[in-house]
Amino acid sequence: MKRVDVLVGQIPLATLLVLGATMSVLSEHFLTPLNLSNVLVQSAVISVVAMGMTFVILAGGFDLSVGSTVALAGCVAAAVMMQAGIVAGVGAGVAIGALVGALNGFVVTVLRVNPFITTLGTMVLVRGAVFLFSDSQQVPIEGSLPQGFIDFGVERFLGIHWLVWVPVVLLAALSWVLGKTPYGRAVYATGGNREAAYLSGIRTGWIVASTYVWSGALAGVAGVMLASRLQSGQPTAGEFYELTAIAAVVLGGAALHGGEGRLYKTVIGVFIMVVLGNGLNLLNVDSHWQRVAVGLVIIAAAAADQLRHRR
Amino acid sequence: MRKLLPLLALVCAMPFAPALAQKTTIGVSLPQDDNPFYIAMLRGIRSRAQELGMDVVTVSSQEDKARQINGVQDLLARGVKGILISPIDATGVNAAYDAAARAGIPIISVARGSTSPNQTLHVAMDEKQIGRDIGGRIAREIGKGKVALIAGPPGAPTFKNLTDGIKESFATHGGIAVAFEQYGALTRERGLKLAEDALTANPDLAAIYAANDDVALGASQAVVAAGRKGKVFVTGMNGIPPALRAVKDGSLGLTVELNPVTWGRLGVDMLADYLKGKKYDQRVFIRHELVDAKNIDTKLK
Amino acid sequence: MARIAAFGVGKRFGATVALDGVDFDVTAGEVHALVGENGAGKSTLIRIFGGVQRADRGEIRVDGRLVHFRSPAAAFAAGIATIQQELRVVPALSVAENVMLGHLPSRGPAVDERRLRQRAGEALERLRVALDLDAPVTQLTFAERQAVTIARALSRDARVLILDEPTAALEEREVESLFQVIGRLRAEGVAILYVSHRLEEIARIADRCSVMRDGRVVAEMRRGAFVVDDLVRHMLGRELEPASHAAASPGEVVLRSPELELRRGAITGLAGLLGSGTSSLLRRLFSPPARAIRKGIGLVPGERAASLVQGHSVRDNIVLPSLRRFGWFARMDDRAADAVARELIAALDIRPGDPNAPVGSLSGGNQQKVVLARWLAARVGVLLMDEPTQGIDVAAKAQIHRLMREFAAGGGAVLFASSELRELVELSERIVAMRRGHVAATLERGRCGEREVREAIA
Repeated sequence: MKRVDVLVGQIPLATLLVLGATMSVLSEHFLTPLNLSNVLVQSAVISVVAMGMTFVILAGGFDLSVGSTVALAGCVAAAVMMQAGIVAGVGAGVAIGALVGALNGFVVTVLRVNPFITTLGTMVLVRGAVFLFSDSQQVPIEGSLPQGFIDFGVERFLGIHWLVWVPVVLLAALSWVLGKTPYGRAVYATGGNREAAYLSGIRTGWIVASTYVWSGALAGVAGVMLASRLQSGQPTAGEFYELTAIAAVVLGGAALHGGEGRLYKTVIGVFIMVVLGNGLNLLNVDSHWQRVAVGLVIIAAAAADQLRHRR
Repeated sequence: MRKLLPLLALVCAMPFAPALAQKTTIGVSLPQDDNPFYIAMLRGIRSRAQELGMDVVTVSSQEDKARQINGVQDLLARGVKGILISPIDATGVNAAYDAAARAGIPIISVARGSTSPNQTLHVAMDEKQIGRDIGGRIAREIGKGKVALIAGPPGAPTFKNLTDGIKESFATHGGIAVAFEQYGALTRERGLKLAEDALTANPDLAAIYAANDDVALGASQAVVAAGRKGKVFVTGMNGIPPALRAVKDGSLGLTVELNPVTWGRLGVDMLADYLKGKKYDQRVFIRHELVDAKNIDTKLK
Repeated sequence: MARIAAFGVGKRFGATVALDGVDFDVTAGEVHALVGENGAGKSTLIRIFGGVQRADRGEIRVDGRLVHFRSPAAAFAAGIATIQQELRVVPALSVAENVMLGHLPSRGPAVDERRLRQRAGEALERLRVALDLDAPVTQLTFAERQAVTIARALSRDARVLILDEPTAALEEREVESLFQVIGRLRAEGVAILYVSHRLEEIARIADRCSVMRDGRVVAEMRRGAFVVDDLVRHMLGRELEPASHAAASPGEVVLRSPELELRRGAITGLAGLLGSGTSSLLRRLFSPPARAIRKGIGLVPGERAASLVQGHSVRDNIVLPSLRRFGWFARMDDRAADAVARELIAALDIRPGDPNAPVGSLSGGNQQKVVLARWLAARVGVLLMDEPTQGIDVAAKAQIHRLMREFAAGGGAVLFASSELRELVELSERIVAMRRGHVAATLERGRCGEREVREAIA
């Protein structure tokens, strides 16, 4: 029984390795330094979003609003940056994300609205707000963002893009928070059995709300990163990020009902999604078939989740 | 509740009642509210309508076909005299055209068109011709080599016609291979990501066609990042300001100016002519213009 | 001939042997009881009978014919109905619909309301249970819902009825009427397999009793040939040590509420019928939990599902209420947590003794000990317990009783609610009897026997 669990725990990594091996056989370009660097950069933004999603799902919730929040944070960060400089812009982007998260947390825990409906609402609401805020145009429409901010999206440190260092540092720090602090245990316990956690003296309302704030703030960080990569705030940015992030969390083997899952495995899940898309692009596979492939992978992961919990 | 109903009806009717009594009202249904292209088109429609003394009511559809059909029915119920529509796709909202025909109200397609026999007329861009022009320009620029096509959303005939035109022109030139072709959303991020992958798979790529300026700006960023600025010819479409600036600084090879404002104005003119009983053609093309390094200075004020 | 019979049935889960060559049968018109400690294999056997699991070896015969059930539905179709502890009723539907669930009579595409009511009524009539057929099932008591599920089995002509701990959640009066139902069904020729931890009941109702231990049937006895102590000896494979009273003298009051006061060193019992308000009183004394815990109060809730995070380890469950002691964003001292868990695992004899084992893999009794351990780890001075020994086996029950006494002897105060009068009388210094949400009487030790308590709560 135990041995089976250990094997099941390695399914995400094994999937990624098999996928990578397959792609490198099919395309000579896959295993080149240039492409691997592309894969890292393409994964960076969505990894940060998916980490926030992991917090929410671990505590038994769900967050559909992250994609819209990415766009809002990017546009707000860009607009503030044009007026008040890089630091203020980045701060504003992250703060507006945290604010959206706090709103989600409030509605879910205080008004007790189902998380799916709540975040579906904020997803639509925030997307509308972005278009109002940006007048449906990129930010800024004239001139360009500060050079230092644009450089951040292009330059490298130790041969690796600055953008990639962000999720690396966040992964280390947040894994520590989830795995090593009492707060992290409380998050897991709340998702594993909310009643039990409550009766153990954990303020489960605060814990659940806090995970939405994490998710919103991290979506804010991702929005700022994306603005740096796109050298502008884009109101259309981040579309379908919520679905990719949820798929990555599931691919990483977390339980959709909460209480089980690891942050680094979510990142592996992100890599599975990105490598799949990147590899199929390199092979110039028809975009319709790409959708079919991604859909199948998500269903397979969800089915694996079911099989694991049926035992 | 029963007491409230008449009051409710009064409140609902109030904003529209005077308008209906005085002027000709036309209805507008566009596929998106938040796309700069359609925002500009609506601006053109409103300004021309005002000049002609007409009122404009709009309904929103957000790329949802059922919503667009319902919206058109609402417009008919309000008693508009004519409808300008940009249908979400060529067949999906034919019911809206049928409804207009039943009500005896003209319905004119602007930009996107429909296959419906009840379409009064279509103010179109000559998509195939634009595609041929872009393709010809690419061919002249690179001579021979590999090209990537980052096309628009699958299913929209506009983008299919554009790529068909491009391929047609490539075929007449010879020596040009389409090495990469993907359909999808019109966002800058997607342009960047797909161009990165296309450049990796084809290090000798000579040109990238992008379905609109946002996609093109993303693609040009990938080209710059790969250190191939000036070696890969990137084309966009629509002529939004950041794209014009990119043409100026050389990171974008060309864009196509369609001027949605004039497009909207032309739509209103055609509708006004029709209502006056003038003769008309089934299909009217809007003028398009390629903007590249040669004429960019005339476009930037 | 046997209605249902198992011959040499074996089943393993990974390295664990759940059943090791079991022979067992139930004949028509017989109540055959099955007893054993948790983990002895009773559940696996009835799951195999019920089509939930399949045997690795051996055969199952129904009326002499070899059967291989591929699903619970197949077993049900063959006339074998299992009434689980958690009753399968659909809250949104009426009594009649719940009785006829799965084979609602229809006329064309619509449900035939008339026949539905008629057939549901007949099934309930066989049980002599009078229920409003149109009432939503949510309005029923647990005992009434149980009757609905039994009626459902009868409406499908069940000839074998498997009852899994049917009295665990029943009041004494309800137990009596259940026994009458069982007696009637026996007279009609239904074969009844009766699983229970309550050995006194078995002595009363069973025609035959089989004892399981370690996946085998170790003893089979006819009615009249066994007393409770025999059963216990067979179940444990040894004698049970007799319970001893610790005579501690009560100290100062540590918890006071309008209803009662708790003193250091004393065990107080809380008696009352289902719905009399014992559970809600305990919850109220423990509300809100975070503040109650800071004041040194711990609650062992009635449903173990509500108290443990099943997928998480024994250690994580034990340290759960103590987390804040570590500081929310401070680094948690894993070794300290591990040491605390190991110490309590040893002290409470929790098995298996691995702090990393998922708590869901433990037996009911051991899970209950984990819940106790967490409050000992949190060093609370007051323990509130709701039905602390419900549904756990005899040996574990004795251990829990011992732990409660030790906790009190060490200066703690205990308040526990139980529907088992004997347990209340044996353990408590004082018994608070509740009726319809209010305290009806307070009985001191020495002046309260089971009879007095029963009168006080009735």
